[in-house]
Amino acid sequence: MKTSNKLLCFFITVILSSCTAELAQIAAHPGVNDPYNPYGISTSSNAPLIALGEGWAYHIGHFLADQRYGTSGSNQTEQTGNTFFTGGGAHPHINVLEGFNPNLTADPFKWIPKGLMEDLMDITNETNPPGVINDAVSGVTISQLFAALQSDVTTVPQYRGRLILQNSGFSATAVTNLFGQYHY
Amino acid sequence: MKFFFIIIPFYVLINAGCGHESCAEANYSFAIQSQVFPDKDSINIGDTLFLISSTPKSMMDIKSNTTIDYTNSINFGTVLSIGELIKDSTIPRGAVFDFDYLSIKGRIYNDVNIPIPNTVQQLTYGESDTQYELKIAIIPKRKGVYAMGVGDGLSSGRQGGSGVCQKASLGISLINPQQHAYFYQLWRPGYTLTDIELKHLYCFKVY
Repeated sequence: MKTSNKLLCFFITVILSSCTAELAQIAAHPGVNDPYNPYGISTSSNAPLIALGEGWAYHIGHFLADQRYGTSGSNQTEQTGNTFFTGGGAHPHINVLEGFNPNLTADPFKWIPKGLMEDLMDITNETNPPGVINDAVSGVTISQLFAALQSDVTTVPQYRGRLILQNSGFSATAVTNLFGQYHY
Repeated sequence: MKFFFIIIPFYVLINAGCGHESCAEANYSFAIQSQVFPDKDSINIGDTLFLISSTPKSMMDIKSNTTIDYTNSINFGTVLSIGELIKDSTIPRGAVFDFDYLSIKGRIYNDVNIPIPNTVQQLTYGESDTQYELKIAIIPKRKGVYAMGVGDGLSSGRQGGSGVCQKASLGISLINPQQHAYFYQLWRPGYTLTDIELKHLYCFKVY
């Protein structure tokens, strides 16, 4: 297949399978008055695919928004805090990913690793609160993150394995440790 | 044909859900203050530190700049991280179990179903007639230099009817005049704490 066709095939596979998983959970948790709408619970059969698909979706959405808007991006809130304001040189789209806390029991969707891919890329440690995530990995690129999202990778642990397999420039132990801090 | 393969998934995404009208995002964003007292940089084993925080139930929503009467919250809470700053170690040691805890208003507890329960305690505010309140006693059991972090938090909704999905994001900052951040900076020379870190960090020594 041509590269463009491979990409098209990948997008169709991922979008359809991910959306099918989410639609199944929306059906299981219908309406706006269900606290588990739209992603369901962490132990549902669809949760592994949702965690991977949404983890990537939140990351690439904010990553591209930061590329476009940078320090002039609008205020952002995904999970915790209201501190991710524009102004003062802050990057609200990056800070909102950094602020995600997988240990916050109050969040029914804490199992979606919204900050994981940013932590794989950046050189900073976690700040909210300090020390909650010990991020010893940096330098993973968007291309490397994307390349590991293959059609047979449907869970975050599989993704971790593929990412390590495809790349040699970072410590597999540190990557495994970081994933572990996000429930995986 | 290719056109339909592209259009149909996007039509499903845009019109059938995947984020629309869901409980995924917080509706409101509130700012809350917290404080540790007594504000001493060194305490003895067996002394008590108190973490206190409260906010009226009518709060200014920073997103809309309007006052919201946010009553009957489900799980109005956050986390408290505690780590020991051990010399020559680059990572704070999870030190939750170096302390005893007492819930005076609201609740502090350990959730083992998170990745690092030895590093993080869960905090839930109590709800009175007019306020959300937290008052926790923290009693050290062993010597060391510790960094404590009060995280930003989340209310996962309000009880009953359409309130269930009215989530709120809680920006919780420490307002202690002295946070003794020099303990952290001594432990991590050359590093400058960010403004975000300084909003959450409190350090102390137990001897």
